[in-house]
Amino acid sequence: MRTIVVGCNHRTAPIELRERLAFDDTSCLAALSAVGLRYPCCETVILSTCNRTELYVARPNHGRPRIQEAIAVLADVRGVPLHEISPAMYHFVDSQAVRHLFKVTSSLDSLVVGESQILGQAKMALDLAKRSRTVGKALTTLFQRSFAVAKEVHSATGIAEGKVSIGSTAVDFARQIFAGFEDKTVLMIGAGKMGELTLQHVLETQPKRILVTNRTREKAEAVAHKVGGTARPFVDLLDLLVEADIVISSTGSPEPIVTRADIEQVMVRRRYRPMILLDIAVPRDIDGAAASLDQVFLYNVDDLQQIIETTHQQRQTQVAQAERIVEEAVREYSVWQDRRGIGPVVRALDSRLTEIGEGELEWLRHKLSDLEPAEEELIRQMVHRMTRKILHSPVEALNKNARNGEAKVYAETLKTLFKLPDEA
Amino acid sequence: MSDPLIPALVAMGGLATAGSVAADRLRRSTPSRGWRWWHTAAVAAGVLNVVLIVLRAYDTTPPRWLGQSFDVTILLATLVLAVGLVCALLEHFRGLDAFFLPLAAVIQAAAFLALLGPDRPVTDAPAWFVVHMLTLVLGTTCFVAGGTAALVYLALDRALRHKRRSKLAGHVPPLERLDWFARWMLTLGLPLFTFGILTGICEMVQADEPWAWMRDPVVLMSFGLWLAYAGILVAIWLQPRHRGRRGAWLATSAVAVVLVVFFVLNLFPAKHQ
Repeated sequence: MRTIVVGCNHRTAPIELRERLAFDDTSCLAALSAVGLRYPCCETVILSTCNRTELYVARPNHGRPRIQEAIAVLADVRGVPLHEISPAMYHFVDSQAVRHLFKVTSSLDSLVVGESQILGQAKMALDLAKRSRTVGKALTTLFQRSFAVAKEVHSATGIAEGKVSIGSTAVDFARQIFAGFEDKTVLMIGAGKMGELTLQHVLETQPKRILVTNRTREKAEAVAHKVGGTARPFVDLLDLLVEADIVISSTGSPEPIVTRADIEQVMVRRRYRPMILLDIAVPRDIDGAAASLDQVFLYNVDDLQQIIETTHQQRQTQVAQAERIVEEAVREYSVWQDRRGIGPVVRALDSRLTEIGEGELEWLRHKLSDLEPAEEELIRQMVHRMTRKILHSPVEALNKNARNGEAKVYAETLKTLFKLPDEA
Repeated sequence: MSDPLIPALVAMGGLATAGSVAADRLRRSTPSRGWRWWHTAAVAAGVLNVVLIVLRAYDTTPPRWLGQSFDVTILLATLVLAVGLVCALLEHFRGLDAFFLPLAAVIQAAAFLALLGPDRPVTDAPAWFVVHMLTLVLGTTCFVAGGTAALVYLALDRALRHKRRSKLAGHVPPLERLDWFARWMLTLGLPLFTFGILTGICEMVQADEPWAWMRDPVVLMSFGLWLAYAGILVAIWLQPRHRGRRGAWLATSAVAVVLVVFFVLNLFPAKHQ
């Protein structure tokens, strides 16, 4: 079997084109069935995310579709003219295709290196292909191996460490401070867009209460309504701080609205329970000096950006190691595939030699018509032993060279020498 | 079991292996979850230690439990190891075993220092003595466990205050839970330690020269430690501002003193011995 992949991603295609090529679950199932009908001997998987659309095909060695046909079928099922997508399409064959998939699932090919969503999306793609019955042993094995490689890359390198958005970074820090969120109160000061985005991430922790306060009560009520929280008057800010464990502040105030003295006073009233302050506002809402107080963890937008930048840099330093793991996995996969590929050659060679032996036995039987059954059996055994011995060296060479990745050359040579059928 | 060197060395090998592997896991990006082979190795080392303590006790007639510094130190190592293994089993405290296992190996190694010194005279080990030693070692284990958790707290707190993601993040419990663990370990340790001291005092007042005992460095240091821990506990429980970072500093400093007292004074001859 040959493996090919055709597709486009965020590097090769603009968002307008990616949007047109993107599949949802329903259209993906329909497309897989259409490809399956057109090329019944091949296996297909469609991987479609916001950053890429790729068609993976495993087909017989001399079968179809060829690369251009695969691109055409992708254009056809999405109803996009071929000439529009062709310049944006890339293609990979065999070990290159394997390498590409391993990189994709390991998120080395992602817009944000180290993100983990792609692994789930690839699993979903395989699942859809299984549901539409367009996938067999070849692509299932390849995809499952790619999931294992991705897990290895993520665990053996720091490529997935840290978070890369302000909200998720803030939540990451909160998780290092608080043992649980079921008894925690989140306070949002102001109704800024950034604050709201951060709040969305914080809400993933499922806190007990969400309080929203703003100088304009209507705005506070609007945000509170949206997130299922309670709007509270801005004049009660210090009391709200006593109640809150996580504070997100994003007002448009030109001066800090919370001073160090305020926080000091608040900490006494809240009996020094730990508190995380996320100051997303510019200019800052919370006096930076409050960061030195015990049990107070204050992060402003620069701190969070700096952490994100460091995370990006750290991830980049891990890319080389991750690629080494991928390369090793590609090599191992190719060897495994080669070894798997020599099975039919060995079987064909075996039947060829057995066929020759049987033919010669038949000839001998005519010549020696007075053979006793015991003598005939002895001759049969001799022919069988000779066949085994002749087979031994080529099979051993095939197995040995499968480990070196040269099995294909030997298999082709044997096929030529012994006139074995093409499908072997 | 007059020569405890080989089994103790084997146990230390197991502990050192388990400790180094567990600590090495902290460098991995994905924390290991659940029971692993090195935990089993640590259990085997712990069992070997217990067998060693029992056999050494029955080496004399009548049996002399915890009669030598070596036995006491081995017991401390085993108890610290047990705390580590319990942490490995409990999801909330998973990750702390990466600190307790290496610490147990270090304590086990320190036990060999005790073998260098002269043996204590073989005497009967009355029940009060066993209770005295056992409660003191249990109390010390609690202090060491609390102090270690406090140390982890300080490392994590420092990273969070420096606005960077700690290598420990995701591997160890969050600050709130570390604080809870340290606080309760200290709270549990003090009554045990107090009971150990009380049994010592009871025996001391019946001795020939009770006031001479009061000048013994081990006794003095034990009283000093008791006062320090009692002060820390009062501060932590009655004044919440001493929780968190400040409490962690206190617990860590106190445990450093505990280890100095335990190792230095317990391994050198004094009237106490």
